[in-house]
This record gives sequence, structure tokens and C-alpha cells, in this order.
Amino acid sequence: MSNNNMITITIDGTEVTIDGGKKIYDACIQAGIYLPGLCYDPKLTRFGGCRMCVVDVTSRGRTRTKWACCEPVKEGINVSTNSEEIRKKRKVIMEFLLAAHPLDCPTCNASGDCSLQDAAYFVEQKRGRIPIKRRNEPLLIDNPVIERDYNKCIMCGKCVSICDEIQGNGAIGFQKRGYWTEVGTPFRIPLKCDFCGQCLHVCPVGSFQDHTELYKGHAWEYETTSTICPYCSVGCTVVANVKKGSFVKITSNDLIGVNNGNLCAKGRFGHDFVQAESRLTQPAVYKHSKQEDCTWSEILEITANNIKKTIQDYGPDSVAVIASETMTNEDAFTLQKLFRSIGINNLQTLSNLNNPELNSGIFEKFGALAPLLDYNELSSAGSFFFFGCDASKENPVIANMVRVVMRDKKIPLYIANCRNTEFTPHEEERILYKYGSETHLLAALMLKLSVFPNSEMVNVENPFGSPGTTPSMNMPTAADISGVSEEEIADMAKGLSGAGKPVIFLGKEIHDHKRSTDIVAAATNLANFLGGRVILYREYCNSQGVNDMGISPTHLPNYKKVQDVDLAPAIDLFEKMKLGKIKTLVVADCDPITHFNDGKFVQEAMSQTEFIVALSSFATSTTKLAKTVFPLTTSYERDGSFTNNEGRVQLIRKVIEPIGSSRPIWEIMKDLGSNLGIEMSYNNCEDVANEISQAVEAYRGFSHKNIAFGSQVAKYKAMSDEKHSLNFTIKNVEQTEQIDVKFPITAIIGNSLYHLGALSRHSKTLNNIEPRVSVELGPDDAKNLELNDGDEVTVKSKHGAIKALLKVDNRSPIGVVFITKNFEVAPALHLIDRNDSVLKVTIAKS
Amino acid sequence: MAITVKKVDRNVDMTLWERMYIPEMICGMLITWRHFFLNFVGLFLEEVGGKHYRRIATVYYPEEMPIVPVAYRGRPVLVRSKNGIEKCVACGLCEAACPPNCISIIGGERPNGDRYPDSYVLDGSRCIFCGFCEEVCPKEAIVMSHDWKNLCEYNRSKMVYTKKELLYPERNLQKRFDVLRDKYFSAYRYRQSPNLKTEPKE
Repeated sequence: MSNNNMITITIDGTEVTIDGGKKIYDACIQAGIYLPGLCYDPKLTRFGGCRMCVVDVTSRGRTRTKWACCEPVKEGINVSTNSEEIRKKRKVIMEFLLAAHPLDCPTCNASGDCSLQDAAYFVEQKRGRIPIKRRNEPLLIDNPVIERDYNKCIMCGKCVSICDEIQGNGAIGFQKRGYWTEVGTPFRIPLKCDFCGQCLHVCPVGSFQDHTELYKGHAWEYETTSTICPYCSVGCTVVANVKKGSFVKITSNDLIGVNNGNLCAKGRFGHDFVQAESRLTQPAVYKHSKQEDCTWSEILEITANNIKKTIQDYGPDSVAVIASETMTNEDAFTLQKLFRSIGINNLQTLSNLNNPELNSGIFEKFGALAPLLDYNELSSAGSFFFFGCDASKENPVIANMVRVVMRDKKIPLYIANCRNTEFTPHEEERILYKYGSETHLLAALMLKLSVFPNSEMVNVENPFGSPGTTPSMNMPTAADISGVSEEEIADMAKGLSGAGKPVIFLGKEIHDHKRSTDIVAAATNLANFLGGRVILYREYCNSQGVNDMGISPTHLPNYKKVQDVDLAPAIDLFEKMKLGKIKTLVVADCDPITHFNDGKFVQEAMSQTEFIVALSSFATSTTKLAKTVFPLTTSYERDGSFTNNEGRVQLIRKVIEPIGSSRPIWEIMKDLGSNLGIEMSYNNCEDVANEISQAVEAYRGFSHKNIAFGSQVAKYKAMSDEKHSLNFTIKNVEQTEQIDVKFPITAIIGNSLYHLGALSRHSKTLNNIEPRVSVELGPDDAKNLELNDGDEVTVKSKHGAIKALLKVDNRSPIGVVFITKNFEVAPALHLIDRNDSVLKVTIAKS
Repeated sequence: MAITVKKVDRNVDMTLWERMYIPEMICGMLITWRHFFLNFVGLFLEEVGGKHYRRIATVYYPEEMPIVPVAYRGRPVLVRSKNGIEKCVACGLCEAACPPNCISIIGGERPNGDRYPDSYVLDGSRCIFCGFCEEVCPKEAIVMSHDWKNLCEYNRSKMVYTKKELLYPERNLQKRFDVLRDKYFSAYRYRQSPNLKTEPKE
């Protein structure tokens, strides 16, 4: 598409040297000349719809009027942007645009942030000669977040392009013809899409409006602060808009952050948890058989005394800490510093409890092959391979990046999944395997790949891991176990080796898998053969950072091994709790009852614990059991930093004042420390950050001042080690299990597009979009079970039952259902038995 | 610099008539008595239904109320239209135009998509009665009323008016609207021109 020749052109007398593939508009931006371009967006394909960017181009002695946004630069052309003729033309075009655009600026939400307004001021066009015709279409409010106003649309086509090219939805398009053209859904059916709000980000006028903003103010009244989204691990930069101390809305900026202005529904609309009614505002202590509000000094004293007493009476092993992965690096560091300095080493996160080896030991086991990848490297990939990854639902912004690379470089996409996950544009090859047979499939792919010689494969000696498992592995068995035909595997292998340098995405299904470490190792080997890379998606915004800070019983900050600790403890934390061995439990910013497997068991175990200290922003099932409850600030009310999937450390900024008397964890830890006799001399969050940069080698040089508006990629030491092949065991999870005939359907539990973690359920907007837990069932299964779309169903496993809403769609193949989690009313994780690897359920009408 | 002194003759030479003192004193008292008499008679004449005779500005407040001219700028009020809701659309222009920044608006949205001010606070202790808000308002939703009573308080917090306190029925403001339309739109422009007519679709 682009050739790298540098070309020199003249714009209004100044010479500009620019890349050959660019357009004249880009050259104007480079030269610092403003051109009113209403349909121009550098991340979209050119449309040339508004004609406002007309310029005179003189080449070979002839002058012609061209559109700057569509005209490629050529050597030696002379561009004039501000001649009398051009000014006149622009003015006439603006006159026509305004003839069909109602001048409702005072009551328009976009006023102050409107490209048309700017352009009209630029060309000095007031009310034109043409009488204004109003269309008088009603405002369309058919969904909880996006309002559409056909009257204001100027047909720039940006929303159609972004919905199609970047979001892959194609939910809106041009309808009707001529003057009555409108951008919307066919036949004006209600909008059904991802509700990402990309259309309202690109809309130059107020045709698309944020319904959650509710006309609270105008663009010029908002104070904007760029911070990091507190949901998933991509680490998008969001711009918070605040009016008079109250949070109004979130916008995005194309120029800041990793996300290039793209956001998903959670990031853009899921911010109203900040001012939710369910926020905890006062510290509370359990006394007189109920929780009562108290002062900070009281709660700190009670908690500190209890921890001291427990350590004295039962020893430090009787205290445990469960931390969330949504806390900042500073919080995690002070938390582990305080508890380690009083001798408590039992620091856990829910993800580490589920999969002890994968998260905390990742650098030890994988070294240089650790599944971290700079997002910029996506553009140099040869192909994309989604393995057990539903990118467009789990990490929509990563899916956006992939789509942009696929559009620009025509890169093929391969998908292997146990469900028919959707991804637009369509993949080249797809493999539908049986859940549990991932290692077999990956080994079979590698076996096939050795048929297709590749120079980079020669160095690898031991592709199939530990020698004991190799003999049982051959193509027919692998095909049989994974339920994929040999030809399909062969096609996939051929495609992958032909395209070269794949980037393998491992999603939530792999992350939560019982054999995830083996699968990641196998996928890493496969990528290594082909010269590609692996990305494993962590679940929460700071999953990487919390592990870097050493919230793990086996590792200190920077993955230093703790001495005298078993890597795989024989008995896990909740069983210990159930036996009454844990006397005091500190739960920091998470809710294990809703967000951990087998929640009922967790609840029973936690009620055996004498003293639970809960640090939480919201009232949850855990805070109900707690003896002391500390109210926490959310990420929008404090400073700090998050580390995303690529190991990029990014700053979060205080946007509004803390609600009530809530405080961040590092402050609480500091005061708790002084009550426990451990002095931590931090005056602000920056002091903690400075100490992190001293203590954690990967974060050397990290300080809040250094990365004020940018970011810094952590330099993990292990990343510079040599590459080697990884050992993994090929094992089907179903081999060890006895499949119960009573429960024939395999259930996969994951996050839906609109809910992630504890925050989203407190957001009114996201609850409006997706109010309740849903079960996705294939049409064939639904026919057999005589169920219809929208039915109320009961999902039963041998462990429990939940009520849910049935959705019939093609995503689920025969014998597989997908259940969304995170709903505390009907927690899908309560269905899981802690000893089983595969969840088997039945579905019946309730 | 040398100081220059100008001598002022303070010993004004009085005429004989002035030096006699008594006649001048009587002249002065006559003026006083004339005013007294005219006021007294004027009040009496008005009581019996005669012509209003007084030529003085003093008003016997609070028994008597002054009649303010139509262009008088009193307390700014929000106009409540006939259907009982405010005309304001929370566009924020008055907020932007207000020189002492006394207005603060938080907008809201009605179920049909219309804008309205969710909260409209006007700090009367800051207001300078300039009338810019009224001039800038595209909807005639805020006007300076003829309300001038009870604007002073002993406590400033009582002078912060909320939306409820600011609402004022539209029918009582007709005269003010006429003045405004004359002043800012000069009658002929306010008449609906054919260009401004709305045309329904198809």
C-alpha cells in the first residue's frame, strides 16, 4: 500500500517532505495547516464525502481542484489551500451543508466539540442563502446508550466505516436515497450491536449522542483527565469528563495511549459505578451483632489488635490475604510489604489460587518466551491465530487492533476454539475441537508442521516435551480425541507455516483451564517454531502488575523465589479455611464468593474464619461476612499505576474527589502499619512508586514524573534470556474424569462483553444493556431440548443450579453451552466442582 | 518646584439686605413651607379623588409601592410556560455569558429526548442585574422580572435561588417579553419570515 519513497511537495509556499503513500491532507497536518475535514479520520479508509477539504493542486503546469483527503501526494506538486477561489468554494460547500443541518447548537450535545461548528467558524459562514429545510425526524432512543438524530447527520460516513472496519459489527449503513438518506439500521429496527460507542466518538456533529450523558453539560464545561480504564488487561487510555466535581462521561483520545481512541462498551459507558448508591462510604465494625459505622482510628486499632493477637496465639500461618488483580501496583506493593514484614507469607490472588504455576511462575518457567507482546509488534505479524480466544468479546480493543492490521496488510486469521466464536472479517481456517483436548491439538499441529520444513524449526530438539508422553502421540489419536479431522489439522498447519510469524492469542478459556500451563507451553513452542509470539490474556486491569509486585506465596517482587516454601502446596487455602486453620483473613478489593470457583464452598470456608477484614469499594457477599469493612476508593478517585498485558506501566490519575471517607489501599496499609509497629514513611503515592522502582528490577526508573502522560514498558530480566523449547505434557482432561450420563452438556464459563469483575455489576448503564445471566445454546440442542430463544431456564450441575435466560445462537456447537459469569444473583461459578476439570450441566425449562 | 499660593477672599461682602438676616431667613422658610403646603394639599386632593398633584419622588414605602418602568431589571426568573414546565433547555449560554458567574446549570433529558435543567442555581448575592442572561437566552426562558422586593437577606445562603424558587408564570411576564422583542429583535425581525417556517417531511 505505501511505498517508502519520501516525496517533497509545496503547500502554500512551504516545502513538506512526506511518505509517498500519504495523502495531501496528511501533508497539510504535518505542515501545521488547518483544513476543515469533516469525513477525514487517519484510522479509517478514505471516503471523500464532505468535500470541505478542497485544495488547488498544480502539477505539470495545470491547476485542478482536488480533495486533499483522497489525493495522494506526488513529487513536485504545488498545493494552495487558501486562495480566493478555494475560500469561495469552501464557503459554498459549507452553505450547502448548513442548508440540511439544523442550527440547534445551544441544545446540541456536540456543541463545543463539533467539527462542523469549527469548520463553519473557519470559513466564516453564517446563515446561508438557501432556506433551511428541517427534516423533523424524532430523536431515536432504542437502546440504553446511543441516541440517534437523523436531522443533524451530514453523511460523512465515518460511523459506518468505523463500525465496519474497526469494530467489525456493520450494524449501521446508509439507508434510503437522495435527500432522505440516513445512517442507521435497515428498516429502522432497533440498534443491535456491541454498544462500543465508536460511532459517537467519530461523529463530527451531534448525530450520535451519548444517552448516559443526559445533557448534563457542554464540552467547554468539562474538565478532562486522561487515565486508564479499570476493566480488562488491555490498558486503554480513557479521558474522564468531569463537571463541577461530578463524573459525567468518558471520551477517548486518538493520540494518547495504546488503544488509538478505540474503547469498548465497558470502558466507555461503564463508569457510573463511581457514583453508584452501593458504594461504601464509611468504615464499619461488627459489634452488637451487626455492622456499625465507626471512625478510621477505631477500625484501624481493632484490625491491628486482632492481627497481632492472631499471630501471637496461632502463629503467622493462621493469617491469609486474598488480593484482587484490580488494585494498583502501589497498593499491591505496600500490601505485600506490610504483611511480609510481620511474617505473613500467605498472599494470594484468586487467579493464583486457581492456577498457581501460570501467573506467578511465568518468568521462571517460560523465560524469554513469556507471553507478553508489545501491541506495536502486531503490525509485523505474518498471521493471527486465535486459540481458545474469543477476542471480540473478551478484549474488544485487541480485536480492533487485529482488524486494523488485517485490513491494512491483508493478513490471514486462523481460529481454533471449542465454540464457533464470531470474528469479522472472516477467518481463513477454523478448527472446532472438543474442550479439554487442547494439548493434543497443538501437538498434532506441530507434528504436521514437521512435514512442512521450515528453517527455524531445525534448532528445536524436543518438540513434544517430556519423553514419556511422546510414544502415545500420533495423528489419528490426536484427531480422534480432539474431534477434528486430520485434513483440517493439515490445512491449518499448512496455512500457519505458509503465512509465517504467527501471533497466537490465548484467551480466557485457556487462562481458566485446568491444564493451562501445558497449553501455554505447547502454544509457545508452536509459535517458536514459526518465529512468532504468544499473548496470554490476563483477566483484570492489573493482573500483570499485581504478580510483578509479588502477591504470591511463592514469589517476592520481581519474581524472586521465597525460600522454604513449597511451589505446589498440598492443601489449598479454602480447604485450610474450612478446617479452621485460618483465623484471620484479609480480603482486599475482591469477592471470592462470587468470583471464585465453587462459591458455596468458599462461603462455608469463609464463615469458619473468625475474623475477616474486608477492603472493598462496594457492598458484596464478602463484606457481609466481615468483622471490619474498610471503604476503598475506585481507580477514578486516586493516583497510581496499572501494568497491562504487554508489561506497560501506565499512570492512573485522580479524576474526582474520593466518595465519602473512602481511601486507597496504600494509605490504609500505611496507617495499619503504624498501628502494628511498622513505619512506612510515604507522604503520597509517588513515594511508593519511587520505592517500587528501587525494589523491583523490571520497574527501574519508574516514577510518576517520568510517565506523566505516556507510559513505560517494564523491562523484565527474563525477557533477555535465550529462547529454548518448553516441556509440556499431552493430556486430555476428560481422560481422568468420569463423565456423568446425567449431565451431558459441557459448559464453558466466561465473561460477557458487558460484564467483567466486580465493578461492572454496579454500573447502571451496563446492567441496562445486559441485566442478567445468560446461557448460549446451539440451535440443534435447543430443538432437542424443546427450548426457545428467551426462555427462562435452570442450569443444573451436580453441584448446584442457577436460573438464567436462554439465548439460542450459532456460536455454541452441539453439546456445548456458554454461561456468563460475574452475576452475584446467579453466580455461574457456583456450578463448578473444585475437583472436576470440565463442567457438565443439564438445561431444563424452569 | 516653587509653591504657588492663590489667595481666596473668604470674607464675602454681603449686601445690606443680607446683613439684615431676618428677611433672608423668611425667604428660606417660605421655600420650606411651600413644599410642605403642596405635599399636604396634594395628599389631601388625592384622597378626595382629585388630580395627583405631587411632583416629588419620595414614596411612602411600604404603605405605597413604586411603579417600576417596563424596562426595569429586577430579579432574574425562569419562565414557566402554560403547560407547567420550564422553557429552559439547559443550553448553558446564560452560564457562559454571566459576568459574575452566578448561574450554574446541570442539564437533564426528558424521556422524549428534550433537554431541561435538572438543577438551575442562581446566586442572588453575586448577581449584578446586568441582564446579559436575558439577552443571550435563545428561548426567552430567563428574563429580568419586575420583582424587586425581598432581595436582601441577613444570610447570604438564603440568596442562592434554586430552580423551584426561580420559576415564574409566563402570563405575568408578557410586558417584559414585548420590551425584549422590541429591544433585541426589533419587531419586524421577530415576525416569522417565510425562511424560518418549518416544513414537515414529504
